[in-house]
Amino acid sequence: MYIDDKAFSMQEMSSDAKQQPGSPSQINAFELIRMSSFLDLSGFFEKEEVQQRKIRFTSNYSSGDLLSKIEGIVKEMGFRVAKRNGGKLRVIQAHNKEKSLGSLSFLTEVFDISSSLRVVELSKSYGDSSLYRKLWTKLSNDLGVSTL
Amino acid sequence: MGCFSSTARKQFPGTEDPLVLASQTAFSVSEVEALFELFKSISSSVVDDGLISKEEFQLALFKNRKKENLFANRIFELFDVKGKGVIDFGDFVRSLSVFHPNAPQEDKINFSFKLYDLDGTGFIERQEVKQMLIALLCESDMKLADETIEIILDKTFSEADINQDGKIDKEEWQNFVTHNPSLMKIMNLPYLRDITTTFPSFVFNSKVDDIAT
Repeated sequence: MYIDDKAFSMQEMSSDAKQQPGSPSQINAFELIRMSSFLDLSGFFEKEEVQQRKIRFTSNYSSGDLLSKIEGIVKEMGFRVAKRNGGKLRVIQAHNKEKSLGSLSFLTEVFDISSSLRVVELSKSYGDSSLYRKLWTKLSNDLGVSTL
Repeated sequence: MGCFSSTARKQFPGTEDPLVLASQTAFSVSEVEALFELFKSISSSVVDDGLISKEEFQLALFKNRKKENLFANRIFELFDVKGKGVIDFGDFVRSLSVFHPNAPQEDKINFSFKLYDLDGTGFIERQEVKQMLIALLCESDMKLADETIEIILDKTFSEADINQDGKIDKEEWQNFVTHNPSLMKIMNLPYLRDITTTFPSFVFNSKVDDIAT
């Protein structure tokens, strides 16, 4: 996918200095807008609020740093990580490969907003809500910043 | 015609025939019947009148009937095909059909264009995009400097607004989306593939299915 290819090459470079305002890997307005919970009709089919399933936070770390730090944190908490191409990580509860109680699977994506700011989006595919909450709270506390 | 039609029509006169709806949408007849179960639960949550009001729409999506928002308002407007201020079953099925993974890409692109064209002028203006961006930032508790917002808008419009007239027309949107396919993520609801399992309708409809095939 378009954005991911650019984010992937950003990851390889992993240097903040290369990131300039208006650079190719920078998110466009519609990519940001589409993250809105209010554009998500999954609420018709899910008991849980969208806000409990899709989380966003901003961070000053570079895309590359963010992805490796997220990987480090979740692995410490006992999760398995499958890397996708570009700025994406699929995180799965290590001990339960099936959708059973206590299992959890979510996707992490990192986007560039500006030269010094990234947005991280976490989307739960299925699993334990309180475990998920624990995880994203830790991730946003450790890695996030809410203002530029 | 099967039990569905007579029950539906008795309860809510004017409810469209599932065969007709199936023939005009991405859904099969049994999927339309399953959608009716979903429709019933949404449309009866505040007032049991066979129609989905704005409040009921918000309650179903956001588990909160008071949660208003410019995107939610726009989506409701688009679902309210006849502009009556309520969504009937036909509107519901036809609108959801666009979100089916098998629905034509063209329909998805058209819907998303109308969605972002907040005031329905036929163009997505820069001011509208800015408004939506700010709404997203508020919602996410994210703060960006004005300058950063302008840079994001500049970048977006330099890519999307080919004739540089400060607004995005339908053709430019089509082109933009083709180059940024991830933008169409919001136009897909994989849940719609499993609708008959999620909302089983306890109606014996084998006769109807035979006619449908």
